[in-house]
Amino acid sequence: MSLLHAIAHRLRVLALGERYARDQAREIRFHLELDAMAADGRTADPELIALQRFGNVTYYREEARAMSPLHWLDRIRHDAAYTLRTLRLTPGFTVTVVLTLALGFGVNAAMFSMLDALFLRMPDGVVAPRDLRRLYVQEHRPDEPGGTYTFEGFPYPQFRAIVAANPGAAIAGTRNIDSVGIRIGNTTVPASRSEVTANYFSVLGVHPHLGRFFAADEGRVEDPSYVAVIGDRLWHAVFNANPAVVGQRIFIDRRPFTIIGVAPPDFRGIDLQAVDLWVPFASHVGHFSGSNAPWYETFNSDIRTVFRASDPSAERAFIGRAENAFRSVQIPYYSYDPKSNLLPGSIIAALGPTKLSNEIIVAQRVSATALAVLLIACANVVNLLLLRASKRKREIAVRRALGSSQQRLIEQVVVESVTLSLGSGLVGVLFAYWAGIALRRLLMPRMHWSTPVVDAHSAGFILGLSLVVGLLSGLAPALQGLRPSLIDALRAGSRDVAYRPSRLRAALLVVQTALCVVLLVGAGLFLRSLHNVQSIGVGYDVDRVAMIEPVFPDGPFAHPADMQRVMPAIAAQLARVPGVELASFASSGPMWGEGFVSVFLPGRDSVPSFGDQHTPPFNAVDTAFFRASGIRVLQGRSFAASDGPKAPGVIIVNETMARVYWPGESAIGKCLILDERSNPCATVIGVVADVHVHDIIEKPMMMYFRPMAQTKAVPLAIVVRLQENAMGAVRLAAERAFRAQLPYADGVHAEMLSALIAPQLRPWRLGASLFIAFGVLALVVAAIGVYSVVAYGVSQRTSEMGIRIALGAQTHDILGLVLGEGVRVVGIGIVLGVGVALEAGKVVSSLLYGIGADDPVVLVLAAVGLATMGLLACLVPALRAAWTDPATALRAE
Amino acid sequence: MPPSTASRSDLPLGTLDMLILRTLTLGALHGYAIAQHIARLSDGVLRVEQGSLYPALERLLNKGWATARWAETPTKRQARYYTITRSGRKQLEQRAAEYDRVAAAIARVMTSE
Repeated sequence: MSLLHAIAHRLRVLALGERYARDQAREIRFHLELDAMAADGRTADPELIALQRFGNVTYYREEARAMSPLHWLDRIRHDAAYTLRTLRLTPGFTVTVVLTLALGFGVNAAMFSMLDALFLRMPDGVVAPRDLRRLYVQEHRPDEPGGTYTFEGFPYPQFRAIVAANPGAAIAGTRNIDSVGIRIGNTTVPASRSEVTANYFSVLGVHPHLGRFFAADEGRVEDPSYVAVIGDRLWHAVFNANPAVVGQRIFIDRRPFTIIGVAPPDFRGIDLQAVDLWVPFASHVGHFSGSNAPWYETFNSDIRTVFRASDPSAERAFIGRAENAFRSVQIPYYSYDPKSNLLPGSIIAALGPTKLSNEIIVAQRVSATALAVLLIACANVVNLLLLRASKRKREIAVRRALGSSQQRLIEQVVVESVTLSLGSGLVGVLFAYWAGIALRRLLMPRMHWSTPVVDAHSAGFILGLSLVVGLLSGLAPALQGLRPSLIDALRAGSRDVAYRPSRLRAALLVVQTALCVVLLVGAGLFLRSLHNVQSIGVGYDVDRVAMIEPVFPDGPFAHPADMQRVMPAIAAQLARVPGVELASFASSGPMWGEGFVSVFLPGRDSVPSFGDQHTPPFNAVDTAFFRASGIRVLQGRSFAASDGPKAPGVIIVNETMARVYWPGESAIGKCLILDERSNPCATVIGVVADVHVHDIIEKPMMMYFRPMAQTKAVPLAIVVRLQENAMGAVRLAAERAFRAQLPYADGVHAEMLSALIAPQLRPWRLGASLFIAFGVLALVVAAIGVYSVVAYGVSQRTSEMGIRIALGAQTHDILGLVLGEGVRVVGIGIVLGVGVALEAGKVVSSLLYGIGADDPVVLVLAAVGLATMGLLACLVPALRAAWTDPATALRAE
Repeated sequence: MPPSTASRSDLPLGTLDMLILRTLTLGALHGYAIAQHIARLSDGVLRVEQGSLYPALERLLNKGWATARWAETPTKRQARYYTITRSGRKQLEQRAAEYDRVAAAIARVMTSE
């Protein structure tokens, strides 16, 4: 009861603020007036009597105010106002501290939000997301690390069997998200599309915002329904959130679809990539299977399965039934390991059993370096605050002498650091936004993320962090500022004659330097790995060769006869474009696909395998292909026009295949039987250098080439050898040629090989960029730290320097004195940092390529870099000290 | 009106709150009336320092033992009227009991031979 009254009163005082103070004054006036009336007639000046009786009105008011329940809040407000005033007086200090901390906060929040999106965040808008599981296949593969290989995609026949084996279970399928153009009227807008089973939304527990979701019969694969559900972003961006969108027609892949519903605003699919458009499985028929069977009877393993299991036993039962069903299905041309088993995994894909992509691993590991940046920033800020406190030693001594309590002074210092830190937090949110955008672009450039860059999570993270940092970084200077005895501080004046370097400050500098070394070492390691990967020869001349292929809207590829007619003609046309040296064509582009047929060796039951390669892949190529793509012919000859359809069959093998199939002999003239055992020999007429089949980093693989004229293969890619800067012209020419000769092609995909394989370099590029960015930040911050500490030391020792110079010290003596101190600190930091870097290197060593984490060149370079920074940062104050005019120095104060 | 020369006696610590609460049991009163009441009943011996009266009232409000509101006096002026709350009465009972105990003890000491 009394509590209620008390709270009510306190709230009233808080709410009324100044008005409450005025009310109190009014109350006193009333009292004075009544007093004066009572005393009326007995004195000439009633006011005076009343005042005499009442005492000091101002004192009373202050007293009443101090009684005020929220006095401490008031005090903090005063401290904050005082802080803001003093910070305005030292803008250099303020800006340095705020920027330093804000960078630390921003970088960390960006990393946090990235990891949050990857690993922590359940998909929005889904009912009970923790019960949702993804289904994975685990195959046993001795050549993979761990002996198993796990993947998420099922062929449709298996998916169908798994569903049938679990009647009544909530189980849905989706395909990988792809980008499509949606045509509405005359405009085409890009959207990310997900193909799903009809029950997808009901399994996830999502209800339409407008209209309806798919009906069961719209999910039938044999009989496609062209209906679509759109997401909130698309609805707002393209349809202006018009409710009349339901029933509207749009075109996807030139096919009309009817919009039947709009998903709720918070639902953007269940993946990192946001989805704008959901369509039934069968509505997209462009799943080229390479056979005549409809897609839903083929082995395209692209259906991802999601199911709901409320408890572990239900999950086990589900997996058991699913596994039986999965193993019972036979699919033509599809061989899978019969020992494969099924695994459940979290709905958060990155937590599932599949191997994380290198980019994500890099992001995960490198996020620790963001913390290092923050630590460096904090160390620096503590140092700056300590210096500030030292400079104000006298002010603090005077205030204590005048009766300020220790508690009040500590309060004030802490309020100052918290104010600074919170201010930095606000700026940090801005930095986090920029850093987040940059990071996402770096990590997965084409991804349209389903989560915002900065959201309540990461903003809260920053503010919490800044509060903690502010409190902690305020404590050291607060305690140190109180230590000196009042008398010493007052007597010493504004400067100490006997200057003693502070241990704490030196230790903080050592920590900064050490962390800086670690970051620079990381940058060096990733840069060198990137360089190593970039200089791997893939067998093709990646900087001189472009690949060009037509793009088809959907459905099976173009008619083989058309391609056979058009591709050679366009290749010939492109060869005449200025800047083009040579143009050729092949059934697959370099590192962009391959063909398989059975191979036999005469007189042998089986062909040798090489690692996990049993049947070598081939590429059917035109005669100029080797010259155009830069593949070196090591022995024998390349294909010639005479190797025609009627001529005897010939092939060219690569080095590895020659070594594996005919060890110790020359492969030239040997016989290989292709496709059917009864076929005639194909004679090896040449051996070429190894080329990579898929990836930049891969073990040597067997591969062979066949003349285009001797196969039924369809030429799908044109390979052009060109001079620098000719890419634009080639692209234009190719577009024009395809438009004229293959009008049903949607466009042309023309790219230098170097650009095509660039995404594979991303993990190293990402690591190098992050480390360089963080390393440079850290270096700048550490330089500021060293500079400010040394400069402060010099300013404190001005008179000492004056005396030394007056007594005959030379410039180099003074330089040595000042530099010595700074260099010692930096030196210890470097040694410590190298030690930490060697230890931390173990964590990233699996991400490096062709270089150990203890690479001496990198370590030395990082140490030299830091030493240079330290010297430069010390040099400016050292020179200032050396140039001190003794007369001025001694006269001062 | 008591003589202006009458010595003002200092109130023992804590008793002012008790006196104010006791006075407020008469009904809602403004500060001046509270001071007048205490002075009159004590025949001018206990003169409440106005400078300590208002902080004391503020304290009572903070503790929730009294509430205050602005109201019109019979002479059509605005004044702040204080009212005792239920917990204020409870507090008063406790203080009064304590005071009785101490006063009796003091009396015993003073009247002993």
